[in-house]
Amino acid sequence: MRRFIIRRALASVVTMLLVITAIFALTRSFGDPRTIYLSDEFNTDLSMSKKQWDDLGVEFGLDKPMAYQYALFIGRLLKGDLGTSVHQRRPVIQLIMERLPATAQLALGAFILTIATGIPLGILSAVQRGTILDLGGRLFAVLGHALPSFWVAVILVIVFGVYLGWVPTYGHKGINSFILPCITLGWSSASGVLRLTRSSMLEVLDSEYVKLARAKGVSGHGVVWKHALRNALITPLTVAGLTLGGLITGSVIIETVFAWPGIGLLSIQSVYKSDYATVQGVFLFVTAVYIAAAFLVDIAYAWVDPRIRYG
Amino acid sequence: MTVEVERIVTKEVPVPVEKIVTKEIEVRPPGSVTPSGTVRVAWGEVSFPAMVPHRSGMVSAQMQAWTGAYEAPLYQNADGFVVPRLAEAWEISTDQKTFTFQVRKGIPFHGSWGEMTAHDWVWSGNDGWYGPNTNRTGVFVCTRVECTPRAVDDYIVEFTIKRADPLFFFNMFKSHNGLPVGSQTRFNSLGVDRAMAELPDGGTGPYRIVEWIPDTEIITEAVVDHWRKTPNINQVRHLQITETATLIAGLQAGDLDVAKIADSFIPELEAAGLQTRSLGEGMFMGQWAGNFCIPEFEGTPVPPRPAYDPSLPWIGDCNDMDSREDARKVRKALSMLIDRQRLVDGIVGGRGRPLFFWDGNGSVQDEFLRRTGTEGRWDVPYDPELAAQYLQEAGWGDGFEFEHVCRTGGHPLAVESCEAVAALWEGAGVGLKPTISRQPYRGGIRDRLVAREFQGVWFQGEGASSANFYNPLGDAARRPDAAFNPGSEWQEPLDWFEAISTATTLQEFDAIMVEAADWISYWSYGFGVYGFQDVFAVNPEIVGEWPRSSNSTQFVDFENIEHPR
Repeated sequence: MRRFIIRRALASVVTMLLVITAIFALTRSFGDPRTIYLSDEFNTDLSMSKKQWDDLGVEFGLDKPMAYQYALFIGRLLKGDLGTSVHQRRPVIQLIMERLPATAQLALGAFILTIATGIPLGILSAVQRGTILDLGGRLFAVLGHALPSFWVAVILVIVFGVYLGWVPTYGHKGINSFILPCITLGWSSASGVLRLTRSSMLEVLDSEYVKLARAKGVSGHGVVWKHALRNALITPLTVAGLTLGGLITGSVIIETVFAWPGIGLLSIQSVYKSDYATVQGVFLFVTAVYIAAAFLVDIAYAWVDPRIRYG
Repeated sequence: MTVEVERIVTKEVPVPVEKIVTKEIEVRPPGSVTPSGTVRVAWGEVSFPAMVPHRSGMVSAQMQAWTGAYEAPLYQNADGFVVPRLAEAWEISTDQKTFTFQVRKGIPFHGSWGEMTAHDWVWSGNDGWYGPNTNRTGVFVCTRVECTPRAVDDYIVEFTIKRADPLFFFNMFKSHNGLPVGSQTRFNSLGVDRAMAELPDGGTGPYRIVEWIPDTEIITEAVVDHWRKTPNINQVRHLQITETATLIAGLQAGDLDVAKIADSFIPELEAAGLQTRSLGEGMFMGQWAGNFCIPEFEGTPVPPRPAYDPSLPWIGDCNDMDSREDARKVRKALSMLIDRQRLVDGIVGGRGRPLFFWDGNGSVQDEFLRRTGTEGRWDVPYDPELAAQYLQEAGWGDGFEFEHVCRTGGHPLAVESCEAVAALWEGAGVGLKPTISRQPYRGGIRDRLVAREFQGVWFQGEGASSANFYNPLGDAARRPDAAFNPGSEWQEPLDWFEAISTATTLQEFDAIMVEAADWISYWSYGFGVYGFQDVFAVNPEIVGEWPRSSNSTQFVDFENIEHPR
């Protein structure tokens, strides 16, 4: 097990390094961050001289060769420094920490929805295979995967916010404001969990030991709840860990539509402002979260199923 | 109640004189109203709190002024008159280089920071313009003209500028980016870190910021018994909402009371009981890049501009008048090939009008045209035959290929309009082959302009712009030593711009502007296409009458909102 953990940890580090390099290269292609200091206002553009422009370049290290900037970047990361926002002139980690609670709340709400709907519906679909209930569950899953989240968000807002007036159309205030963003974000992942639970459950229900239990006269409920479910849930629950990581990192569109002040919105705003330091900081952070989640999932798998760590 | 103000102007300033007359300042006596109710306003960006001028980013500083937390020395009211505000009176020297302001007495800062004095003005100026690690290098014209503020005594401030510049005075009554006066005592008492982080009680405005969640929301509350005007509305929530669908839904659901909207949503929102009001006239325009014709500036040779390539049809050889003339004909021909009225009818449903100047606020242009009797003088006719003749004469009768850049992420109509112009040019039958390139401004076209690397034509739509007397000329007067310009540098606009600074009468001002407009129109390096109404929606049950400064086309002057009942 220890060797497995070390192997997976090393793989995570290498992945992170590759991501760091890619992010560094990509953020440099956004454009010159100094342009955020140039006004769009009539004639105030003139108020920044070429000299001031060049001085800013020195301040941001833009006058150094790219390799030097990269080395500097890695060095700072090792010290836990994600840089300073070009726009706000504050540490990026501070900005992330300010936005993290809103994103975490949204992800947690969506995760609860994922588990609360995906697993029961998956079980129901499997147990009632071929019935109208199964069809309903599968439809829920297909729509959840197929419908674009921005479209779902807008439709939900129009129906429940505008026409019915049950929930606010935007914002992050009060429990009501969680409903639509959580449904939008959680639907897709609930669909995945539903399909996984259903297929896993069907596989277990067809297995020899379940047949034996039935042959021995165990009731239908007993077979499902005592014998099948516990084995069938191993995969969905493990994958759920990865789902939570995805929910934390994948809420950019939802946060934009609902004006939800989280990390996703921060990243979009930073892209619009050419705030490359914040963009790379946010992406590094969410990547680290995702890689950490994947690492934990791998460990959990190996712990549950010894064949994996010896494979 | 009104307060009579004695004015001490010693000479006419080089802006239309009727705009610079002293009017009565409106004062609502303390206790005459009790602020009540909340208004929710949507913005594209509310930025982050940074309560020290030199650490404020552009938008952060603007929001502090726009939300009403700070005030400026002067104010341009809804009728276009410049009136005293924090300054009680002012004086401008004959050489246009010394501006003296008499500071109004008895104005308290929001917190316990005492009375505003001339020293607060000087500190605000110095810190906002020059402070260490300044984050506002692009904000104020003072950096360019090298101004020095000085407190003559506790209530007299004198600004001396090295170079005369008409924009300096303009900034004194600009509702943002000018000189919002803050408390020096607050800064000295708290230190830079606390002064930065703690919410601003160092302003004098009719609203006080009580909560500011970065890039999310600013909440302001009325200053009861404000020195000038106690607001009717008690609380204003300034919300950052960028998604159009969310804005529209918020307005329809009654979750929002005020928001800018695209023209196409007017019928839908009016059907939902909302009112639409105008922020002013917006403009769609195009400009050619690559014409860099200033070899030397203030004794220093200008470095080569990568985009300058005289072999291109729209770029003339700066040293060859015939070549410049050919390039001019090409630019003029393409402007003539735009059927502006057709775009107005097709894109903004007739709710607009053809415009011909490059940049400039429509209403200011109208006023200027009327005053100088030049209506129609600079119109560009839709004339495909003459355009074809011009192209023939310029040696490009078979047409040419070029990059046609449509700025994305700006006004919602801009890309559609830009592509429509490309279609008009391509369909004109004169061999024009525009290659459409959709580019964001930041991280796209702007970076190429800053590097002087872009050569081609680019289009953008701008929302209503503030009533600036110098726009048409000022945007042409780009200095080679500036970090940014829109793609061309010519000596003549710079000369006129400087001349305007020292004009002593309106007649002189107008004469220079007419000469400049002739030049701008003749050379056609930029051109207007059409103007349209920049609209916003309001919930009429929450927001009644709302007179706003003619100097700003943003949501400002919340203290002027009347309750609808």
